Formats: sequence, C-alpha cells, structure tokens
Amino acid sequence: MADNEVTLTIDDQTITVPKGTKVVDAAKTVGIEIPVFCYHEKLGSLGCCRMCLVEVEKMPKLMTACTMDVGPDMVVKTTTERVEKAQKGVLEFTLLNHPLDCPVCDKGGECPLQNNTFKYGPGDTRMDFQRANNLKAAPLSPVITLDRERCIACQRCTRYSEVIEQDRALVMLNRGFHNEVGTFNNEPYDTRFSGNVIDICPVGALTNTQFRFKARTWDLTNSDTLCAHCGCNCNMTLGVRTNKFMRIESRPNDYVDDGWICDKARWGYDFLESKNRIMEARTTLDGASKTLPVKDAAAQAANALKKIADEHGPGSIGFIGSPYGTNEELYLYQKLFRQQLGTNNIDHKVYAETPGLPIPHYDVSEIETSDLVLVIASDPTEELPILDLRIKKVVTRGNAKLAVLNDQSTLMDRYAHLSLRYDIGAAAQVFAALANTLAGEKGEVQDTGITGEQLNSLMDMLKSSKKTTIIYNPAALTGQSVDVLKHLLSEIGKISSMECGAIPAAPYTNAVGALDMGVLPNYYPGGVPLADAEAVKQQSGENSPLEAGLSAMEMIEKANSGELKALLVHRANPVVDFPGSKKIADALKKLDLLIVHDMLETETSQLAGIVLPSNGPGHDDGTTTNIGGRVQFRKGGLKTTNAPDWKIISMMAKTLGDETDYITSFSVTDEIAKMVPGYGDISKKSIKKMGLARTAAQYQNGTKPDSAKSQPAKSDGLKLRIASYLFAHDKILDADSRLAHQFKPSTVHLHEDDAKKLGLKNGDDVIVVSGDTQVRAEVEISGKCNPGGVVLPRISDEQGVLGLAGADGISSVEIRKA
Amino acid sequence: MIQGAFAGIKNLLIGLGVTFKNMVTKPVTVQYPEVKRTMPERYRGRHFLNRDENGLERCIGCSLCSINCPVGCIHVVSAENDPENRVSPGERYAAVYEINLLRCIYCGYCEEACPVDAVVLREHYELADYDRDKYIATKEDLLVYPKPNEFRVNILGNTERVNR
Repeated sequence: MADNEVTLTIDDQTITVPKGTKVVDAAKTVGIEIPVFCYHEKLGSLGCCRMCLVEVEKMPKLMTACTMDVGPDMVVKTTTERVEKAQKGVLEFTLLNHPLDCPVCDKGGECPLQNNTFKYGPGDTRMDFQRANNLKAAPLSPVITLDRERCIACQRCTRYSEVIEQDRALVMLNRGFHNEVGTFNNEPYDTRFSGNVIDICPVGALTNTQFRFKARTWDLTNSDTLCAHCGCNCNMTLGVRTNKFMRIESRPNDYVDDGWICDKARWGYDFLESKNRIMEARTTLDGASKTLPVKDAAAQAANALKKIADEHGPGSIGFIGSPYGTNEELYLYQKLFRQQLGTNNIDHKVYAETPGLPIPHYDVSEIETSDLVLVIASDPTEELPILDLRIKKVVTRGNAKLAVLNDQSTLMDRYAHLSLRYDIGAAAQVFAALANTLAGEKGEVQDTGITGEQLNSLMDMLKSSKKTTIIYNPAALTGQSVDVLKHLLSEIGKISSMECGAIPAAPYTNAVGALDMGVLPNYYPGGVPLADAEAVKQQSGENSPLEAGLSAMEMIEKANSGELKALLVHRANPVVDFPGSKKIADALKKLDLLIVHDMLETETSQLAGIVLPSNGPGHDDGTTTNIGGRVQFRKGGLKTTNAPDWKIISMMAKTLGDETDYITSFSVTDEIAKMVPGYGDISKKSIKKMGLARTAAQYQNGTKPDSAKSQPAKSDGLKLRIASYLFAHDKILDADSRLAHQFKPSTVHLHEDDAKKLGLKNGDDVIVVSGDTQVRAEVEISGKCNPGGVVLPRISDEQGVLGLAGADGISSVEIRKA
Repeated sequence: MIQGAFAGIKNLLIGLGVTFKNMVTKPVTVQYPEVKRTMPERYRGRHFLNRDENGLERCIGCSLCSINCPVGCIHVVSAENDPENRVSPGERYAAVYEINLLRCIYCGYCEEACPVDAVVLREHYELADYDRDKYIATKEDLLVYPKPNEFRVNILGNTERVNR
C-alpha cells in the first residue's frame, strides 16, 4: 500500500482509498450509499444538513460522513439503529416546514429529498400545526424561479456561487429561522453560469422557469447530447416530450465540462422551435420562389454545381462550410467537392489557422494537473465559458499559476498571476520576441505595449513550470500571427524541464473537427497538405485534385471579380460573420448560383438560389471534436421529417455518381475512422460514454515565419479589436430568446488617453467608422486595451461590427461623435 | 333396476325443482337496453374529472394518474396557473387531459393515485360508439358533472331510464 492511501472498513467491507477522501465518497466506491443534501463532490464539505450521520467506532457521537476524512483502520457503520434514528430525526426536522408539494413540484421524481425521505425517513409526520408559509414563486432572474417554501437551506447554490463561479452573487441572507437564499439588494441572479444551481438544488426550490410546470420529469425522453454553442462541447441532457423541447440539464463528464454547463447551453436552445427555421427546400432558379422536396432540391443543386464546374472548370465553384457543422457533414461535403466536383475551393473560416500543433494537443482535463496555464489572446469567460470555470478552479485552489497574454483585459486577469497586455495588432511581434528570447536570441518588444521585464517574468514562469497548458484563440489572432504563435509554441516545447501542450480554443463548436476533416483549401483530412501529393493520393484516391484552392475570403473576392460562379454555403452566414459585410453581400449577389444549406434564415439565405434545410443540433446525430481534441457523439432528441444533413449531402453525391450508401450517421463516422488519420479509434462504441481523444494531426510548418511580414501596419486611426460577448443577439439567440435580458448595448471601450484626445467622456454616443461602414456605440472609458486601440464587443448581428474589419481581420477605425 | 328407477326419478325431481324455483324467482338477466341495471356506487365505469366547491378544476396536472396507469392510456400536459384567472386551486393545472377509453382497462389505479381526488371512475357503463375517435375522452368530456343515477328501479325490481 502506498503512503497516500488509507484502508478502512465501512459496513464490514474493507476498502483502500486515497488519503483525504471523505467517508461519503469512500463508501460510494463500494456501492454503499450515505444520504446527503448539502454535500456535493464538486463543492466540497459543509456539514450543515446533518443527513450523512454515521457511526464510527471509538467515537462517542455520530459523525457527519461528508466532513470526515478517512483514517487508517477506521470502522464506519452506516446502518445501525442509532444511525437510522438520527436519519429519521434529521428528515423530520428538514420536512418540518417543507410543503407537501410533490405532485406539483418540478423536482418531483428526481428529488433527493423525496428519495431520502422514502428510503430513510419516518413514514408519517407527528406535527399537526401549520407549516410556515413563504413566497412560492420568487423570480431570482428571468430564467430561474425560487420557491422559498421548499428551500431547506443546504447552501449548495450559494456555495456553488462562491466556490465554482467565484463571484458570490448568490448568498444566504439573514439568520436562523429567517435564513434564505438571495442576492444583494434583490438584484437578479443573472451570471453566465447561474443555471447550474437548478441541477444541484436537492429540492424543488430553484426551478427552471422555462420548464416550470411543463412536464413531469419521468415523462421526458432524455437524450444524452452535446451543447452546440462554443467549442467546449459540454455534455448535456435534452429532455423532450411528445417531440417538443422541454429542458436541458447538465450531464457531468470530467474530461469536458467538470459537471457544469453555461446559461447559453441551458437556455440558448429556443432556436429549436424558432419561427425563423428553414423547414423546406426552395429554389428561385426558375424565376419565382417555389418549394420543392428536399430530394429534388439536392439533386438540382448537385447538377447545377456540376454543370458550372464542367463549363467553367472546377475552380469556378466553391464551398464555405462552418465550424458549427458535425464531423460527418464536414467530411461528406469536402468529399463531395473534392471527389465529385474536383475542386479544392473549400474553407470554413476567415482566420488563419492550420491543422496540427508543434506540441501535444492537450485535453481540457489536462489543465487540472498543470502548474501553469498560459492564456493567449483568448477570453474564455465570453468565448468558452466552461473553460473559464476550469481555469478558475485550478488557479484558486492553488494548484496552478495563470499567465495571460492578451490585447484586451478580460475577467481572467482577476485570477492571473501575470497579465501582459500588448497593443492591438502587435501580437505577431510579441510572439516573435518571446520565441526569440526562448531561443536565446534578443527579443525586441518596443512599440508592443509590453516591456522587456514583463516578457522576462513570463519567461521565468514558463521555465519554472513543470507542466504548462497553453490556451490560444486562433480566431482572435489576425494576419499571420498564428504562424508566429506556432513557432513560439515549438520554442516553448523545447524547454526540456517542462511538459507542455496547447489547446487551440477557437470559440466554435467544431473548429478542431473542421480542421481535421480537411475543410481547408490546402489540407486534406487529417492535416495532410496538398504539397504531399503521394500521401493525398494514397489517402483519397488517384483523382484527388492537387492544385491549391481558395480560402473563404479569396472565394468572396473571386466572386466579386466574377471568376467564381457558384458557391455552396453550409451553416454559415458570410454576410454578417465575414469581415466587410456589405462587400460580401455584393459579391454573393454576383454569383450565378448560390446554394445555402442552413438551419435558420439568414441574410445569406435570402440571397440564395437554392436553399436546403438543415436540421442542426437537437435533431441530427453526429460527432464533434472539442477544443481538447475529444470526439464525442451529439445525439439528436427531436424528430423531424426532413432528411438529416449527412443524408442530403449523400443525396447530392449520389446524383453525381457516388455509390456509397450510408445507413446512419455512424456509417459516415466509420468511414471517417477509416479515411482520416488520427480518427482510427473513433467508433460508436468507443466514444459512447466519455468521448475519445483523437490523435492530433501532424504539424507541418515548423519553419520560422518571416518576421518582416509580421510587423503591424502603421496607420493613423485607432486599431480595432472585435471582442466576443457570450450572449450576443444573433440568429441563435433571437429577440424571443429567454436570454434576451443578457443582451447588451453596443459599447466601444477606449483608453483614457485616447478619449481625452478625442474629447469623449463615458456614455457619449459615437459612430465608429472604417471605410463606408459605420457602427453606433456608446463610449466606455476603461483600461480594456492599451492606448491606440479600441475594443468593440460584438453584441448583435444588426450591430454589424464585422463590416469594420479588414479582410485579414486588422483594421483601424475612426471615432466620431454621433 | 327398481332402485335405479327411483334414483332417476329423484334426480329428475331435484332438477325440475330448480326449474320450477327459477320460474317464480326474479330473473338474473335484464332486458337491456329497455331495462338498465343500477350499478353499485363504487363501480368502475367511465372516468370523470371533479370540480371543487368553488367550481375550479380539482386536477393539478401532476400526471400521477398517467404514470400509475398500467396501460398508459392517460395523457396529461400541464401548464402554470395564471393567479388572476385560475383554472385549478394549485400552481399548475392540466391544459390537456385525455383518456383513451378503448385502451383503458378500468382498473381504477388512476383514481387511487390522484392526490386531489380529481379523477374518478363512476357507474356509467354505456360506452359503445360507432367512431373510434370518440373514445379519446378530452377535458370537455370528462369535466361534465355526472348525474348520480339516471335509472330507477321499476315494479319488477329492474331498472329503467328516468325522463324517457
């Protein structure tokens, strides 16, 4: 037996568990259940509910199993007469003022209090006086309703707010009999993660307003699915009744989400029943708009693409996919365009990122064992909220240090041991300087907003660490700075005293999967570059096109110049989401054929000649790869009459002569396992429970990027950084969304110096101008960025901030008073 | 042989005794549909939904009848009460309450499970119809206040419909 293990006896069973384990957890390992209310394994001990009383030999009184660490040769008994009497007594007390609401209560059927009372409690009550009356439906926020009568003051929710969220928004107010859950000054409890208190509440006190009285828990058909918002791919359960969406609950998977989901995951699914959904295929090719069966529309689309490819050459058609698609959809689309239509004009993004990392691709759970977390250009709180909880957890528990290297201040700075803020647009310079210093050369950091000393302290942190996780957001890195960053990563990887890995944290559901599936103009699936013709031919057949394709932005340019004739857009909305919005719409209008395959009506689908319906998350099955490279199965829960996306794509391929028959989405997954390097072990069985990490693609570009290119362009205006906002008012969170209270007004963050120069003060209405695009915003003078830059969070589609950005993401803006 | 003949006559008389006795006693069968039988008060016939003393629906839409139903013939969709315009006294009410009377086995478990005495099985047993769709009893069908007994006992001791 190792030193850090303890052997004890629980109910005559001898077990060995790690030191520091609580008795209640130790009992669980051998299947002995000790009832609890206040204890939760992620929140730690409190011992206020007294439900877990057990008898320990040589201890005179009963002990709470949730606060007691295991000790050597401890003898614990959980079913003695004394224990049973105590359990009955505790439950009698707990139920003193708990209303007998069970037939009405939303928790009924899955309620720990109900279960424990049934199992351990007294059969009857001895009380014949009135129960205390209290507020039955107090809105804690627009999405959470608190029933004060039902609360048993276990403090799980308030501890969650303190330990996990770490903002103490929810607290216990008053003392004794008047003890109640509340917020300061009765402010709404509307944090990013507030919904989790509903799941952890052991009674029906905190209830989901959306689900309130809609169905009983046992009537729901629960499907184990994944969240389809950010790149975390948190596990969640989709509750459906009579094919109607009911609710979403978290489904703990420690490799991915640590048991929590954010509010966008819980309440951001109103789009499933949105009026804006595309339910039918339609075409305007023959003049007026008319609907037609999906099968015919798919055949028409495929034939039209083929016709244009035959007439003008395969270079005249293109495909813009989406990092929100599943691996199956993305794989089939790139296969269709490469094998059937013979083009490499395939892309899914507007930022520069290549498959593969020079250092290992870390799973999200690796953060827990790291002793340094380096966050580069990423804002986990807004982009990948569950990652934010994980980082906070390791940092505040003292297990790791946090270093932040960013061009804007984020909420992560509060927890950071070192927070460096470089000038907007100077990312490449900073990364190059850091890489050079690591390589032993001189790193120049002038005009970047950070000092050499700061750089050195970051260097010291890196060098003194034993295990480092680097989290970077490629979507926030403009121009070629991703290449410089990858060079930096390879330099960091050379530090021999340290293990390190990176997490490419682009805030899209399947950004990693899209890279792996080869939805790129210059890489085949699995990160096989076009340059490696042998490998390509071996993998995808002799007829695979080898000339480099166009990237998404290049396709738009060529569409504008008339060289690109046809474009298929899958689950993307270039008109709003690509830099230079008005120009994009103009370019798309010039196309001979625009096919949009999407879930919701968008500005782009309005321009399309053929529109195909996509069922999207909640309906379609498929796999996605999260930021940690973990492939998981996203199950649909709702039924629909429309064919799933993979089937529509396969119909198109069949029209053009492909003979592969796919029966379910897993038939495609099996083909991916066979064809895509790194996905060999992925199968229905292997990803069933926890998902499975895929092997990362090999990193191809190890050369040091040309530093001359990475110099930021000099310009007079203020440099713009477009920041993300979690609850942005877009197609997914529309005006009817339950999260509409989280929408924010358009705000431009200015540095004090710049504001003084422009003569602006807090709250001024201004217009941010770049070229012919104007965005209205309110001024907020904050230290969010260094002088010379502005931060403009994207808060809605109408705001149109991407119109300000240049084609490579860099742009300088002018600020005028409105 | 004589003994055998006596035994035969004895048995014949016993048999005829039963016949003659039944000739003068009240018949077990009734002339349905002219004559209808009064059912015991606790007979499990067709379902009804009760109202409370204020005229509100008793049903709170808890679905316990539905989960207890061995054949799954009850479908409940609940909704939240508007405090201004209540349907039931509790926080929730049944927006949809349907019983498939064809599937129902009239076991009465729903009545037993009901925490608010809303659903009851009454003595109404005339359920025949020409249309299968009519066997889905909706809230309108179930919320009618059933008259306790539409039949009365006639001189013969049989029942007949009142107000005919």
